[in-house]
Amino acid sequence: MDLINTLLKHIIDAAPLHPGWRPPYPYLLMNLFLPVLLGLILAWLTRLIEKGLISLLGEKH
Amino acid sequence: MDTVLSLFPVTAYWAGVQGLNLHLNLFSLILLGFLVGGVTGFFGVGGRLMTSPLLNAFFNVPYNVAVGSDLCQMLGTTTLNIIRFKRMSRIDFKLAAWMLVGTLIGIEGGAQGLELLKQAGTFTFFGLTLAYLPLIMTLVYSLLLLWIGLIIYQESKGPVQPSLSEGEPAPYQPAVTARLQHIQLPPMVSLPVSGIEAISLWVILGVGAATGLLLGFLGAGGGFIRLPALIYVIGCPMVVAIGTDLFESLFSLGYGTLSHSFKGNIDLLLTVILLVTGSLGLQIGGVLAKRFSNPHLRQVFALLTFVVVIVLVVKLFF
Repeated sequence: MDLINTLLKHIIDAAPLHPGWRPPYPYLLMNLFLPVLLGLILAWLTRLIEKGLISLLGEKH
Repeated sequence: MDTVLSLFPVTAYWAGVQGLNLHLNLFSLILLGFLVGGVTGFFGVGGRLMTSPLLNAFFNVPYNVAVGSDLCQMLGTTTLNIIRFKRMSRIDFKLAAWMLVGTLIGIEGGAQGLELLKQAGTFTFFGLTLAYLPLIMTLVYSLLLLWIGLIIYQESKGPVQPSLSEGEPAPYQPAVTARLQHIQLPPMVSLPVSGIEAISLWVILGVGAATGLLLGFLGAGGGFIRLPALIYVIGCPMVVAIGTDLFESLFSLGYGTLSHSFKGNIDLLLTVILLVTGSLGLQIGGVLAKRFSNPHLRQVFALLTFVVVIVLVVKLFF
């Protein structure tokens, strides 16, 4: 829960505040690594979904 | 409503700057991501290109944020695809390295173009005040979607084409791309992994730059432009084109994400929602396509692109 709160705080604090604003480092790092991390998790999750759906619907021959 | 907007601070900031009345709704956003992913998975092409214009049309998300966040979420989908296709693809590292040079130049050019439009302001046309950013973006997206829609409509009317088998070069090559492939402008490079004896370095850099420009400017364009370009223009076998495209995309998208981050164009929560819902939708659409796909159903996709174009044009003027 603390991790989610910290992530949300960084996300909320990331708004550009004025012209010439420089992005904070946590914003840059999260933009780079959060999608990659989620991609790894989703690779596993979508494989499960695919298997489940194929066994449910059956493959077309 | 304010609580929802506070979760999308970057979107809210740029909407305020551009005078847009943002109406983000979490449920509708999730539904849109899921539907766009599902359409892409089911029809196999081009659906992702609809994400940014639809975010603008339905929720008033500023184009620069829609493009930046869409490009950022592609880092996740590329990671996912690398894991899923690692056994089915081969990487030509030399080709990927040269392509990357062109792509980075193109991405920065596209991102800078978007930055220029962001600061270009408005103009009056027959008493109607229009901003340059939505006008140009609507025009570009509409033309691309119309082009894709027409190609898919023509394909769906014709005989079914056999799909490319792994490792084989493309059996049919359009005349323009064949001419590009045989340009003899030095320096020439050989690509042994792809089975190419000699190709002009400028062709590789040009393909990279053109697709990079689309990525930086539109936040999309990898799948439907780059993969065919690798196969038809450069002459890669399918199996190498897939691996090389994914490998190169990871680095070019990383650079694109950084570039758009520095310009304040990425809203991370929007990125996360698009990534998760899009990936799940894509998977379900892909499974349904295996079960129910019919070449004539592709006409529905063509129709969908035309409807999206009409929505975009109506949104621009009203």
